[in-house]
Amino acid sequence: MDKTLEIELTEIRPKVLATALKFFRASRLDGDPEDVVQDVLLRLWVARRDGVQIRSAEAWAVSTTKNSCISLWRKKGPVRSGVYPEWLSDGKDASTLIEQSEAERMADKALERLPAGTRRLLQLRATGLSLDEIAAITGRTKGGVKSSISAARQELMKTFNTK
Amino acid sequence: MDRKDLIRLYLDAETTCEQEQELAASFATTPPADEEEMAVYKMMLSVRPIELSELPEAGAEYDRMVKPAKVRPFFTWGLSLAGVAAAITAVVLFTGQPDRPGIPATPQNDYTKLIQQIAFLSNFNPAEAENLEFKPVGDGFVMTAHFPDGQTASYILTPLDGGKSFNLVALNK
Repeated sequence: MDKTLEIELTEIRPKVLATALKFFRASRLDGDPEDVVQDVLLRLWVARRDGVQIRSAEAWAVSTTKNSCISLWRKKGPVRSGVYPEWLSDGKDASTLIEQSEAERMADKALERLPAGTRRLLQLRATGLSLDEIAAITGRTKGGVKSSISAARQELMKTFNTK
Repeated sequence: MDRKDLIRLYLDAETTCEQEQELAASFATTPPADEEEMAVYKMMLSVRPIELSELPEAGAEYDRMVKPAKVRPFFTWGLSLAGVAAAITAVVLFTGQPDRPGIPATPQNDYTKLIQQIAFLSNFNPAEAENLEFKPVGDGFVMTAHFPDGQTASYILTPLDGGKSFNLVALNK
C-alpha cells in the first residue's frame, strides 16, 4: 500500500466533499454527495495506479468532482452497474442460460439486500483496493471496513450456500 | 496456502488483494469441490468491480449552476453589521408611529417594545433562507427571503461605498 496515496486521499477528501456538497445544495440534486466523493477518490487511485502524471492532486480532484457532479446531474438517476461479462454465456445451452440467469438474479437480489454502503465496500474491494485504500476513500476506519466486508461476506455466504 | 485456508481468510476479510486474486484464479482452473466453495465462487462472481465511465468536461457548467449560491457568503459576513442596521431601522419604523391618544407610553414600555422588536427580527436571518429573490430597484435591490417554514421576509439592499458593502433594511415578514 502506498502510504503517500493514502495520506493524499485523506487530505483531499474534505475539499472534494465541500465541492460536491456545494453542487448538491445549489442544484437540489437527490442523492448522497458521498457517492461523488468516493467516485472521485477512486478515479484518483486508478490514475495514480496507472501512473498518470498529475501536477496538483487537489486541483485534479476538484475538477473531476465538478465533472462527476454534472455527469450525475445529467443522468438524474441511479447508475446501473455493469452487465455480466460475455464469457459467462459462452458455449451454454438455453436451459443452462436460463438457470444461470436465475442464479444471477438471485445473486443481484442478495447484494441488493445489503446496505448500499456495504455493497460499495465489496465493490471497491473487488476493484482491487486494499483495506487501507478503501478506508481512505470512504472516510471510514480500516477496522470498520474490514468488519463490514467480513459481515457482508458471511451474510452472502448464507444466501449462496442454501442454493 | 490451500484453497480452504484462503476461503477462511476471505470470509473474515483477512486476505490480501493478491490472495483474493489467487483464490479467483484457482476457481478458473479447479472447479468448486463442495457447497461452501461453490458459494464463495458465486459470491466472487456476483460482486463486480466498479467500472468508471468517462466524465464530461463540465467545469463551466458546474460553476454556472453553483454561482448563485455564492451570493450567500457575501450576505453572511455582512449580516453582523447589516443585521444590526436592519434591526435598528425596523425598530425605528415600527416604534416611530405616533402613540395612541390616551395611552401614555412609559420609558419602561418603550424599552420592552424595543427589545421585543430586536428579538423578533433576530429570528429572521436571511442567511437561513431556503432561497433568495432579488428585484432591482433604483441602484439597490428588494430581496425576498423564503424560509423553510413557508414564511417570507423582504429587505431593501442599498449599496454603500460604491458597492463594497450593503445596507440591509427589513421591510416586513
